[in-house]
Amino acid sequence: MNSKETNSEDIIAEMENEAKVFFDRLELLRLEQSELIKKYREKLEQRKLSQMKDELGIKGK
Amino acid sequence: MSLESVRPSESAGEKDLSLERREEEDAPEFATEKIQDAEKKIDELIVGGQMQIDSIERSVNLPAEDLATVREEIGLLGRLETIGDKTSELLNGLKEKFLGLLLKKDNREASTKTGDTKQLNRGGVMESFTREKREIGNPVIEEARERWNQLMESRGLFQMSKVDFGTYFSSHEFDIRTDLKQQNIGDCYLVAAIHAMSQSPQFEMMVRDSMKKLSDGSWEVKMPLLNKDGKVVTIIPEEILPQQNKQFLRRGKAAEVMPDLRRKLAPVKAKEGLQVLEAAFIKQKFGSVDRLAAEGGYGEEALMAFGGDNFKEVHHPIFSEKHLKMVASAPEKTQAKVNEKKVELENFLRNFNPNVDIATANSNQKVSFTKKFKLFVPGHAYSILGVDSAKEVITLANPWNTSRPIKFTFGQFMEAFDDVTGVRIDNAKLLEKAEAPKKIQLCVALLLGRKTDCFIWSLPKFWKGAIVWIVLKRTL
Repeated sequence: MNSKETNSEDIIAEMENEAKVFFDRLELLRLEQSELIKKYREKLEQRKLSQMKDELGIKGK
Repeated sequence: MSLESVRPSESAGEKDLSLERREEEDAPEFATEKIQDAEKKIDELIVGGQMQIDSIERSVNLPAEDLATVREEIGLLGRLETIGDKTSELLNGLKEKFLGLLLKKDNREASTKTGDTKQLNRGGVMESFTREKREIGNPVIEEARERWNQLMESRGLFQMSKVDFGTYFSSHEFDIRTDLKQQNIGDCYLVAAIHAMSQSPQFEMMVRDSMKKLSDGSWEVKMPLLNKDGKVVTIIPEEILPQQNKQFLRRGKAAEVMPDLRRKLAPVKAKEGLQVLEAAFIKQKFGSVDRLAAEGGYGEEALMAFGGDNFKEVHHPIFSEKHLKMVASAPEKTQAKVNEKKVELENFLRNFNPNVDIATANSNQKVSFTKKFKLFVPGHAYSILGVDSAKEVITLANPWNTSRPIKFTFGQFMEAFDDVTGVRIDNAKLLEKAEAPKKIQLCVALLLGRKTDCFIWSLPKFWKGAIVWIVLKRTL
């Protein structure tokens, strides 16, 4: 194997590592966003439920 | 079984050639694919999130005020914006790392071909350069900086102390280096211009002459710097803080799919003095520190606003190999003009002198140029830090993070950039501006026995001497 091939392979290996770190971090951000949207949905549903209860005159939980 | 394996056998020469080509393209191809993947994933994340939110809001069918209340309650938009910013940061980091790796590879290959380059240069445009190369090393620039500062200091022209300059401008102790990081507004041209200017030996002198921090925390900046007739721009502390984005969640142009997700528009991440320079340019141009209005512009415009008539504007278009091939079939007059411009640019680069030249370079707008430069930020301004004409290497800094300079060979530079814009410092003008204040001029006149309009001339010799002594003692 000549030195040029080795260089190219080394660089691709380094890039592969960098890309892996990137996609791992992006995955964490995706999870963070999913959690946030989930929380938003829950809050909206709670509010909707309490409004419906008010409209129907249901008291308590 | 792959298609390749069932093809008829190729001749050895063809095989070697295709193999070599594949090896050469492997790393850039790989990098481009990964970046495209990364961009796709980011789009999926942002657009997917927005679609999910839209769908949830439609399904609950609550009034807009309720939606706004819940959004506010959990800080939805702010947190989404932070996630968006983080993805951009991650992508920029990945691009920079890939680019660094590719350039490292290219430089390694280029260094093995130095002999060939020398051969080519001997017979080519190099012959037109009669001017001797000047090696401007850091010690020379340091000395120039010191001399200018001593001159100005001795004439009592500074309104900012050296200590304050260190506090508000230098990013490192015992070092005049300035580090800047462009944030979420598109003013790369301005950040690159400020960074390029901060590399000049005259920068400290210009800043210390024309900028002043007041006791209430606000700043006075005389624009242009080091100019008697400069207009004073006042920057209050709030003007260098992040500001609300009026366009938040709005779609700018009709073609834009994504709304503007930036809730706040942040100033350049740098020492306070540099943030003030950014704000002063915007305020002077737009009447207020409207960061949205400052998006998109030209480096030389910013430099001229800072330097006024102390600077002379410089602009060199770059003709890549592709352009030159196209010009080959053009009329002779056009070819001559293009060659003239090419020689001018090479002259500028080979004689780039950080003592007098301040320049930025604008990267190619098109995405269709050589694959390896796809990682490079297109349509972006970079500051030029220096040129090593012997090795034919240009050092540039990306405004996203100026602390990590990038090296380009002349060939790479010509391919990746559209033009070099900047200024040349008029040192004669600067010296004029560095003239001594009136009181010192009066003392000199009295000492030399020249008649002046001032009443002191009519006083007895003893009193004249005493006044001169007091003034000089206080000033020098």
